Amino acid sequence: MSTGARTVRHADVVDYDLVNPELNAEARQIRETIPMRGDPGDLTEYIRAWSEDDVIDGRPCRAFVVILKTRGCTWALAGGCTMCGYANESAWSKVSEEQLVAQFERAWRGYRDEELVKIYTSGSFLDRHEVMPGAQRRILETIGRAPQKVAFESLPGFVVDDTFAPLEGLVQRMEVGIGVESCNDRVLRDSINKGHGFATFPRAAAICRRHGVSVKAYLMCKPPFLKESDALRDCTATIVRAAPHADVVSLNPTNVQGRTVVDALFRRGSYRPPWLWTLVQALLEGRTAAEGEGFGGILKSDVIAAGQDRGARNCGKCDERVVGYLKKYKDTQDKRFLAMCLEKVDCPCRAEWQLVRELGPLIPAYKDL
Amino acid sequence: MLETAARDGRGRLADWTPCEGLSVRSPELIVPTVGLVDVPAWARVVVTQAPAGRAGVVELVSGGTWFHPVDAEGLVVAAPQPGPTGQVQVLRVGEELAVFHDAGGWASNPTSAVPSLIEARRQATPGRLLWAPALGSPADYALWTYLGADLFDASPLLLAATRGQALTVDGPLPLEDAERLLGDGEEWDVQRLAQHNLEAARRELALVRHHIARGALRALVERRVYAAPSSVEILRRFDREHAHLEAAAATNRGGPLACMTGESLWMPEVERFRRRVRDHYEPPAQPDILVLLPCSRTKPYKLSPSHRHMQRALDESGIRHRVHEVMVTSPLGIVPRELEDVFPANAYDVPVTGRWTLDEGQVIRDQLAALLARRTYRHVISHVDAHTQEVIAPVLPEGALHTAEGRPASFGDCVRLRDALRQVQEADPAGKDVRALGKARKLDDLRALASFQFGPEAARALTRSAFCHGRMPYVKLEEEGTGKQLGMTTAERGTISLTLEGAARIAGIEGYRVRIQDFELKGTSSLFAVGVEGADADVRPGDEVVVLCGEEVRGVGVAQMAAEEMGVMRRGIAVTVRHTARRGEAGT
Repeated sequence: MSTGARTVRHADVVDYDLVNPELNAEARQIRETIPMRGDPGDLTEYIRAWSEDDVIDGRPCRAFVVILKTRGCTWALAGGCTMCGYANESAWSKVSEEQLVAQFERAWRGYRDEELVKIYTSGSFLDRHEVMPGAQRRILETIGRAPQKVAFESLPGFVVDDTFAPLEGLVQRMEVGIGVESCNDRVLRDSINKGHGFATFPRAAAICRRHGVSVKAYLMCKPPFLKESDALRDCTATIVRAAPHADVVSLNPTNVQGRTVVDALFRRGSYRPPWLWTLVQALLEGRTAAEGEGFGGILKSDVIAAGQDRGARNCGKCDERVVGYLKKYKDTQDKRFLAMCLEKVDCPCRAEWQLVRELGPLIPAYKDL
Repeated sequence: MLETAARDGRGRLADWTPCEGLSVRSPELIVPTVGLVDVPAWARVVVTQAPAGRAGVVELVSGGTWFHPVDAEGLVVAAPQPGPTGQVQVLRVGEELAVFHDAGGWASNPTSAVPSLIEARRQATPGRLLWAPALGSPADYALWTYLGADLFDASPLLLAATRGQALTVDGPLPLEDAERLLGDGEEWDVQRLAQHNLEAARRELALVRHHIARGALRALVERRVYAAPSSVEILRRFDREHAHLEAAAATNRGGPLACMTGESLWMPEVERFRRRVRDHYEPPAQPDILVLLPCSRTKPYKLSPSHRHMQRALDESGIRHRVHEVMVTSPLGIVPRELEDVFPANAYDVPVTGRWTLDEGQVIRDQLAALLARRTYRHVISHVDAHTQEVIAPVLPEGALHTAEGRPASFGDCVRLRDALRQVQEADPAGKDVRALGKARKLDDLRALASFQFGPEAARALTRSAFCHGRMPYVKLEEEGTGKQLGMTTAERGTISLTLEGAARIAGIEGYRVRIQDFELKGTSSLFAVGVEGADADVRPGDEVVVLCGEEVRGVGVAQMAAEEMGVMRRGIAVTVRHTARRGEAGT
């Protein structure tokens, strides 16, 4: 991968040795049914914007969030990841620099002095074919230096020196979120069809550091075809491998999003989202091991659709309490809350979770496992 | 080694001997070794990561997951790499075991359950037991066995226990109810629940095996599926698909065939009978008067008091040789007299209320309409009760007479039937030589029976230049001139058993041929599956088949396996042979 190249092309962000052709073909086929492909609507209209609570440098703050309607993630357009439903919110047609800036300016009217600004695109903010360099610059100029931090997301392949150079000084601080998912290239290829290997992440993280940009690593807990026992092993290991390169590590339980390979499995009965117990255990084990190697950053898990069929869940009776402990841990970054959760929430479903992990390697099936 | 001891539907008692002195009879439960509960003493198969040489137990050894594979030796179950989600993956373990990967996942959605199980069963071939992982509970073992699964595992039982569910053949019971209804007053913990579920599974699988041995699995399935709508749905979808179940269903087996539910209307044996009547059967050519008669509880009908009365009326009319007698019934629709000794017409047992359901009525009309489309009768006399008359009226031709005013077997109605026939004969007389007509009719009826059994082309070949004597169910078919016997009907099967001469007449016609390698069958014996090269696709257990080597007839007998098993199975009897011919003896 030529990180120093002036322009980043599709071939530069996809490593074909890490593409599973069958899963990619299926993901592509499933995405053919995305409604926006028929009618992307008004291209000067953003998808959504809202204000929410967040944390900045360990203290609570307000965050302004906007989701822009771009042409979409370059990898999703080619097939893409098995669990990602963001392609449902892409225009699937060219969105010009002017249109993107118009979208952002419309959304920005709702800005109320939040300290943190998060810009999501269902793809990569740093992909010049998705968000043109002019649009990147003009959007950051609009935001200006008032907010403490601006966060966006990108495939690691688009994180190159030349991308950051024209953006320098426009805002106070930048944070790039990168979907690391797993440190295991077999998972990245045969479960997620990520399109690139783990090695791209430390490389991209180093470039961010060089430009004073913070790094947020998104990790995936239990992508498809992994058993619960596999998931715990995989995400614990990934926390340890990713932590040294990240300021923030966010462990995301796979939730079942529409028009994805995971959704096809789920609807048949062949996928169960991870147990909340697995998240708690992975965070505890991962944090303990990472701290042993000097990690002092933030490690958290924001559980989307917790307790629901399509999200991480336990038995339904203890979900709220476990999510409560996860939140307490997230806010304090004190891992004793994780240990306390395992100790205090003495729900009978622990026996099922234990059994599920024992059965995983024994029973050649995905259902419930 | 794998040998099938009994079959019913796709359910089979198959004896698996993975190694000397160790044998398992399907359907059976595979118990995973987990901390929750000890492996029960009765377990015959376990799946484990730590094989311990358990005595008398088949140990399947887990090769881990694809994410985390582990080294293993023995009968290793290795997880597959992820593939496209719509692709059924069947793993092979050793020589005689196949695993329908994630069967539980595939089966949890009825729309994917049917095609995936059919595909898995096809990939596994009958030569391997099929394990359906993560599938099955006491309430649906009968169903899944009937549809083609041979082995189940205890994972759903153990998971149910951790969720506080006691499994029964009627579905799950919550823990509190189970303690109260099934327990001895003690509190049940999760281990006790797990033991209960394992025991419930052991019992039900023993019962399923018992029903297969008795040829009564379908009836058990129909009772069990009413535990859950999804089970009924899956059975209905498989019945609608038909081919999968029909391909393994015997064409003839002893015992009554209980047809008690709405589902019975579509069981493979029944639907196959109806299809053969519609598609293969050629009605006898000579009779030009169709008489529709009611069915009877006694089978075959002719042995019932009501049919004796009605047959006497037919005899007294003096023109019974002009009459084609066809019984109106459910679930078979119509049964021509020539077929009343044939399975399942001779064996079905249906609840009789005097009213047909709407579905039964439709089936009757469809079958009758098919007969009337194939054959134009000069006269149609309907001698059925008023309700049945209402049901069939829409498909009867104009001018059809209805001769039953009350009960069709009553004296008055029998007289009306007799008189109506006499009037037909007066107004529209046919030939006078009753003896000659009667004899010709016998061959005519046998040809009709043969068309149902072997198809119309073979029926013509078999009955060309031949004559019949005897009375059903003991009619002999002989060659004109030589007097050589071609075949005969028997009471047990109601169909035609062939001689070598008879076999030679149909040996050139695709349908019921089994091909063997070049060896001689000895005396009256058995042809073993290992000697079979292949069989015509229509062959089912119970079918009369011709054993061929090349073009040469080597024997004739009754198939004991379906076509798909022959040539795949390496043990077991393929054909019980009645007559054998030496090399070069019988000709073609």
